[in-house]
Amino acid sequence: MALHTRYFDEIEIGDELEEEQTVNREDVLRFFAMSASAGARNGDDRFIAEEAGRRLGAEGPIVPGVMSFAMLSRLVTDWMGAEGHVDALDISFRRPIAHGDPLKLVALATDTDEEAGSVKLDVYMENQRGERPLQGTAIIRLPRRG
Amino acid sequence: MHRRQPYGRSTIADYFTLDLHSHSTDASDDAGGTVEGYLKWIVARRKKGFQIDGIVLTEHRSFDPTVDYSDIAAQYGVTVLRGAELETDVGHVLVYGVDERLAQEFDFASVSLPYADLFRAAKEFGGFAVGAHAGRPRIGLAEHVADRGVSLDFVEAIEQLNGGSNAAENDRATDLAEAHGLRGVGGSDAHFVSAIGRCLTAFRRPIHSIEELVEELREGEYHPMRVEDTVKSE
Amino acid sequence: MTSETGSEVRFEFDRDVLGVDVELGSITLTPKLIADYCAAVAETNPLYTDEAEAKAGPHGGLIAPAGMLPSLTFGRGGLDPKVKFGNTQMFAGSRLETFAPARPGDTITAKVQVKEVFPKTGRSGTMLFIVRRTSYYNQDGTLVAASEQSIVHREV
Repeated sequence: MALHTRYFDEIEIGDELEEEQTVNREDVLRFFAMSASAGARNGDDRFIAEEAGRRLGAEGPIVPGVMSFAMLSRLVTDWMGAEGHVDALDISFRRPIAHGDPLKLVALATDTDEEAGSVKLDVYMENQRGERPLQGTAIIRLPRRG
Repeated sequence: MHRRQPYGRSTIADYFTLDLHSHSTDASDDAGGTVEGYLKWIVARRKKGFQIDGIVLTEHRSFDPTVDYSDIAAQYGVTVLRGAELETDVGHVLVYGVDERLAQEFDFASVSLPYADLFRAAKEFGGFAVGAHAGRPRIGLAEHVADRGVSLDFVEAIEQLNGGSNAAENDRATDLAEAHGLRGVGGSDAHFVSAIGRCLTAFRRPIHSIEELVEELREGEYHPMRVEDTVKSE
Repeated sequence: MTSETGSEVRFEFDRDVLGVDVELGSITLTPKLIADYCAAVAETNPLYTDEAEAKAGPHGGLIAPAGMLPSLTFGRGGLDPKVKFGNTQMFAGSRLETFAPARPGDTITAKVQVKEVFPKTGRSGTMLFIVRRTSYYNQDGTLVAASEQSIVHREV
């Protein structure tokens, strides 16, 4: 991916970015190892143990909310370009995400604030059943051309 | 997997499409979409060729009779009507034509209203009730009919196509409608701007008031429809 | 301990913890930690992964991705509101605000407070929400980001 700049003046309601991702057990372990190396609290086995995952209603182990939130923050920074700024990213966790579920990550421009130079996005993740385990909005400030 | 597509393509120019199920930040605290945001989105979608003629706001467990969206509706050229989504002992129920008498007889804040009474009273007081997302577990009618054999005596219509339900759940609602000769509607169940209008109900005449909506739901011809199928064919 | 009722819900918690910041600790953002985070979340944006390209970009160098800091602290910690409600808890939501870029070499200090505790009655019954706000400061005392995590307690 190359650096690109998205400008406020060019935004149209409906401008969309869609990415696909599947998270596996190894990915979750890598995520926990990374945060553990930073000295943060180590991941709890709720996300790894098969049994724990089933208890939470998914088919097997699940992806931690912190990790799926990080994935959506990546989507938003991909959408906004090198000079964009994340004013806010607000996400609700509706359903668990199981390891191996093929996911669509979607960001869509839904409104613009001329005075603030900011764009409102709908941001969500959708699984193969058409369910949205994560859903929310983002406010992104963008530079203007000229 | 989608077993069938009962909604099909229509000569959409002959239809008036309404999203019969939506929630906004004005009254639903789990919503992220504003009414104006919904209307701006619809205008943008129309530019892409989709036909969304209007929406009905059906907020959770509440109805404020003083709220009026006519100005903003006129500004954006979208019909905006208001109903409510109430909660009963067989799941959620959409009510159109919410009369004051209904609010007096039923506590809208309740999560377990007696469903048969609600369906009956809604009609008696000049409105119309529809079983919401009928194929969803716990909060949809199909499961209660299958598991407990609840009566459908006062139920005339269900939400056959709901934008927040998955394919299997929508199929289950279709099965229920077909098995019991119920009318079917479509609605987005939008809580966020980009979801508005994703599922619709196609009516045979323009609808600009809640009275006209109730009349059409009771006596008219209508069917659920996906917004993708409204794109004007060449 | 105070008892509160809201929407006919009885719940108890220690009101004194509200708004009280507790320092969680400090983390130095090494280039390796940033690279490990990017690898863990499939981040390929050169702003965060390519030193040379990032140098030619608007920040004049590599910066940490927006989602990195809350991924390190998980929204835990801080004072315990000693909530007596329900038998299960789940992550309900998360909010991130960013203010200034965080760079490799920065030492980020996290402070967390219990921001609010409130009930809600919805389709699944009555629930109690606890919102914690974590603020991230760099070595100059600049607020670089803030994250709010909402945990819901319910009776299952």
